[in-house]
Amino acid sequence: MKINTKYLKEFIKFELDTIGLKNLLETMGFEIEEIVNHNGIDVIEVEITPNRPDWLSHYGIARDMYAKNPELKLIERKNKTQLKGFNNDFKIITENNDDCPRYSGCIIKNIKVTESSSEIKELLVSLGLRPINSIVDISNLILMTYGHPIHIFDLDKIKGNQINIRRANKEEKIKLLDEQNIELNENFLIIADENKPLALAGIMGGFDSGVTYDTKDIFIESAVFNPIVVRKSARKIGLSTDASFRFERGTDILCTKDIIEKTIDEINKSVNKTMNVDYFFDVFEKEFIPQKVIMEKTFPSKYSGIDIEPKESENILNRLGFETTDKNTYWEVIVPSYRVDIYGKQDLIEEIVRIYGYDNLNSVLPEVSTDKIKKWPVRELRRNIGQFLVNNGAYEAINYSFHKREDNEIFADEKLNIEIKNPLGLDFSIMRNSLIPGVLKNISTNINQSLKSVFLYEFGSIFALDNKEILQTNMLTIAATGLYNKNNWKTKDNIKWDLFIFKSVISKLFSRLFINVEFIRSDINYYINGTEFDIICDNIKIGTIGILEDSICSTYKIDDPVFIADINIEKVKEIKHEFKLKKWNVFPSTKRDFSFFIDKDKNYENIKMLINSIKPEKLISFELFDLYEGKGNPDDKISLSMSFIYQDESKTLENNEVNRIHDSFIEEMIGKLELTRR
Amino acid sequence: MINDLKNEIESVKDLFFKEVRKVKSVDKFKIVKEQFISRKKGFLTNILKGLKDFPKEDKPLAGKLVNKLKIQVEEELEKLEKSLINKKEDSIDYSLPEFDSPLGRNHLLSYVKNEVEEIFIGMGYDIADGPEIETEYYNFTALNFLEHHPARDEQDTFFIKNFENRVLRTHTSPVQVRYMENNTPPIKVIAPGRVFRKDEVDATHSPVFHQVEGLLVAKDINFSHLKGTLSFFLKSFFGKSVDVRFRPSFFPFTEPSAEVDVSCFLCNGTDSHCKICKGTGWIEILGSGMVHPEVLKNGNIDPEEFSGFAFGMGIERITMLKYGIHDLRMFYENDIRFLNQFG
Repeated sequence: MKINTKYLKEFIKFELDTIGLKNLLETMGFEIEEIVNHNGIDVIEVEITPNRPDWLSHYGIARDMYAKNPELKLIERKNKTQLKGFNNDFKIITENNDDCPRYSGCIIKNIKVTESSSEIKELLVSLGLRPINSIVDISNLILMTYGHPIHIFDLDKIKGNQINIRRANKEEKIKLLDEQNIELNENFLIIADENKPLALAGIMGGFDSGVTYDTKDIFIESAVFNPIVVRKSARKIGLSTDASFRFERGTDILCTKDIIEKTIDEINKSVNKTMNVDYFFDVFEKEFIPQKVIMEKTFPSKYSGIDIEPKESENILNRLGFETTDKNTYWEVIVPSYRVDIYGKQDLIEEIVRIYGYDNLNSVLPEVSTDKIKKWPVRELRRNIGQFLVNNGAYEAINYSFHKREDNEIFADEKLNIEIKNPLGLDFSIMRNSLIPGVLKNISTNINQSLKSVFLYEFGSIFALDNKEILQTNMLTIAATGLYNKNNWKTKDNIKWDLFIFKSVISKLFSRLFINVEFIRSDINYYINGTEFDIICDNIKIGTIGILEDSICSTYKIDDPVFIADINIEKVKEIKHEFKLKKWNVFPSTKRDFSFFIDKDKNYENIKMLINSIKPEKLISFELFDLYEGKGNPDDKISLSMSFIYQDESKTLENNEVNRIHDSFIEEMIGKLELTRR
Repeated sequence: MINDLKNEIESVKDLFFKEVRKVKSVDKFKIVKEQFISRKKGFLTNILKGLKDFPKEDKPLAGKLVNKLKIQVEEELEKLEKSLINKKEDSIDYSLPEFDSPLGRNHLLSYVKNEVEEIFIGMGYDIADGPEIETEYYNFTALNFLEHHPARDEQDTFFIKNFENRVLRTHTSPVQVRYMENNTPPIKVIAPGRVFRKDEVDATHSPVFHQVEGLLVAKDINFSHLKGTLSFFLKSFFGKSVDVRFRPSFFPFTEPSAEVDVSCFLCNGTDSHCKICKGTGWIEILGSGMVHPEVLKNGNIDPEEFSGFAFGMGIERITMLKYGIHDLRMFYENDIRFLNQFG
C-alpha cells in the first residue's frame, strides 16, 4: 500500500516531516518498505499485515494515527449526498446472503465521462494506478481513500433491468477488464444481468460492461462479498486485484451506503451538474451483530506487565472506535465494524499496548523454572562426532533436502520416493533418500577449486515411504577422497585415502563413542563389489561403509575413488554405554606369534570369524601384523603373520600352560582353515 | 678440625652439583672445571693444600674424605663432558617447519545453532524437535491460521504428492503445539530445525533454511517477560552494547505480536547508505508475541490459567548479520574456502 503524504494530510492534520511520519507509523505496526519522492511529494510504501484491512486506505491510516496521537486532528468529510431508498422497476437479486451479505446499488443518469483532472491523475499515478477515465478513476480514488472496493457498470450494458448476485453456471464465460477470458463454474460468484455475467464479484469487472467515454448512465455497486469465496476464485484464476485483496481480508459491512454517497459527491465535483440519481437500493437482509468482548479491568495491566490505569485503557479503546460499557469489574467492549480482526481480550490488549507504545513497556526476565529433566542424546552424539571428525580433518557440509529423480534412483526404488507436489523445478522435486549425492556435489565443487583432498560429513534427515507412511530418518554421511596426508620434507610420499585408512578413522570414531562395531562384508549395489561392508553393533546394522561405484562418481564429475560411511543416527542413539569402573587385569600377558600360508581366496573376515568362534578363554586379543604375497610363497597362497595375546585374570600364566593352550588352538585353526605353517 | 673439613667438603659438593646442573655448553663446562679442580686455585686443590696442617693422626681420614670428593667430582665432570660432546654430534635443526596436520571445521550454521542453544540452555530451556514433513494441522491450523485466510499466503508452502494435507513445515512453530501436547506448564523450550519455503534460490532467499523457535508458558507470564527474555538473548548473541526495539506486528499464533529489531552494530545508525540497516539504524531480527489463546487451547493448555510467549528467528539471518555473510547460497555450497573460516 502506497501512502501519498500530501493526500494523507487531507484527512489528518500533522506537522511531522516524512521521517517523523515513518517513525510514527512504525510504532503503530506498519512495516515501511520504501519512501520515494513523486514529483515533490513523498510517497511511503508500507506493507500491511493481513489482519489489518482497515489500514488499506488513507482515511483508515489517518483514523489510526489519531488514536495513536489524539493531538493530531482527524478531518472527517461530511457527505453532501444523502441517499434514501429510491425504487423503480430495477431489481437487485441476491441468491445467497452468505455469499453476499450486503449489496448497495445506485443508478446515476446523464453523466459525461471525461478525462480526470490532472490533480486526480497525478494522485493516482503516485499511488501506482493508471488513470483511465473520470468515472473509473473515481472508483479507484474511493478505494485508495476509504479502502472499500466499488465497481461502476455502464448501465446500457445491463440487460433486463436487473442485477443478479449468483453463482455462475458451468457453461458461462466472462471476458474480464484485463481482456482475460475465464470459463466459469459454480465456484465463482458473479454479478449478472438477466442472462449474462457482468463481473466476477469482488475481483474484477467484465470487459463488456465497463465504463467508457461513451457511457451516459452508470450503475454503482458497493457491496460486501464473502472473503473465502473471493479468495478461492481469485486463486483459481491466479489473479489478485486491489478489490480481491481487500475482500479477502475483510471489509466494513456498515460502510457500503456511505461509500456510494461519497462516490456521488466525487462525481458531482468532477463531472457535471446535469446528472441525477435515478435509483438506490440496499440489499442487507441479515442483521449485523457487532463483535462483543468482555474484558476484566485488571487484564491490561496483568497481560502487559505494566500498570495501566483502567481509564487510560478505556480512552485508548474509545479513540480506536471501540464502545466500552463499564460493568464495574469489567468492560463490555463493542468492536467497530471495520475491525474484522478483533475477537478476544488478547486482541484488545494488543490495541492498548500498541497505542500505549511497546517501548513504554517493562523488560523483565521471567523467573520460571521447570522440573523437566533435560537429555538430548542426539545433540550430544552430534557434538562428539562433530568434534572427532573435525579434529581428524573433516569439514561439516549442509545441503538442501531436495533431490532430482536421478539422485534418489541410486539408493532405492522410485516407488519409495517422497515427492513434492509443487517443486521449484526438477532438480528440487524429491525429498532426498540419502545424504550421499549432496556430499558428492560438495566434493565436486571443491575439486573444481583444485583441492587435492576433500573430507566431509553431513548430518541430516532423509525420507522414504515406509508402509504407506512418510519415514524421516536422521543420518550421518562421511565422505573422503584424494589425499589423506600431504607429503612433507620428512615423509616424502603423499598418502592417498584408501579403504583401510578410512575404515580406521570410522572405527576410531565409534571407539570415541564407546561403541564396539564390526565391519561385515555385505552386498550394496552403489559400492564397488568387494569393498562394501555393513557396520554392525550387537547384531544390529547401524550403517554401511565402502568405496562408491565409479559410474556414480563420474556422474558427479569425480575421478578419484570416494570412500563413504553412511550411518543411521537413530540406531546409534539407541546404543547405550554404561560408564562404571571395571577392574583391569594386573597379571602379565604373554604373546605368541604364528605365521602361515593360506589360500588367496580365503579372506581375513573368515579367519577372524573362525578365531572368534574357537578362541580359547585365555586368548584376550589377536592381530594381524604382517602380510606377504609373491616370491617364495607357494602358488595361490599368501603368507600371514598374526600375534595372539594370552592372559589369565587370576594368576600369572606359566609358559608351558600358554604353549599348551596356544598349540592346541593353532592345531584347530590349521585344521579348520586349511593352513600351512610357515 | 675433622668436622670443619667435613662441613667444607659438603658445601663444596653442594656448590659443585648446583653449578653442574646449570652447564649447558662446553664453554660453561670449562669454567666450572677450572673453578673446582684447577691446579692453582680450584676449590678441591685448596682443600688438598689445607691437609698439610692437619695433625698426623687425622691425616689418613681427612685424605680419604677429600679423595672421595675428588673422585666424585671428576667422574661427574667426565660424564658431563661426554654428554656435551655427544649432544653436539646429534643436534638437528628443530626450526624446520612442522607438518600440516589436517583439521576440519563445523559448519557455521551448526556453530551458530549451538551458540543460540547454549544461551537458552543457560536460562533453563529444554530443546525439542519435530518432523520436517508436517501435517497442515500442526503447520497452520493448530497455530490459528484460518483455512482460507490470506495469512497462509505469507508462507509459500511446498506440498507432498499423494499425501493429503502434508506439507514441508514452513516454520518451526509446529513444535510449539507438539511440545504443549506432551508437556504441562511450566514450559520452557526452544526448537531449532530445518524449514522450507517455496522461494527461488538467490542471495537472500533459499527454499531450505533453519529457524529456532522458543516457547515459555507458565502462570502470570506477560509481555514484559517476552521483552526481558529476548533483550537478554539478543545482547548475549550480538553483544552487550546493542539496543533492542519491539514493534507491533502480526502473526496468527501470537497476540499481541512484536517484531524485534536490534540497533545496527555496523554503523549504529550513522551511515545513511549502511549495507545492513540501510540507514535506518535498526535491523529486523525476529518475530515474537504472546501465545494466542487458541494455540494454547490446541496444546491442551487453559488460557485462563496460563499464558506464555513465543518467538522464532532465522539462523541464516542472524548468522549473516553477525558474521558478515552477504550471500545465503554460501551456506549450501560447502566450499571449503568458506567452511574453513568458521566453526
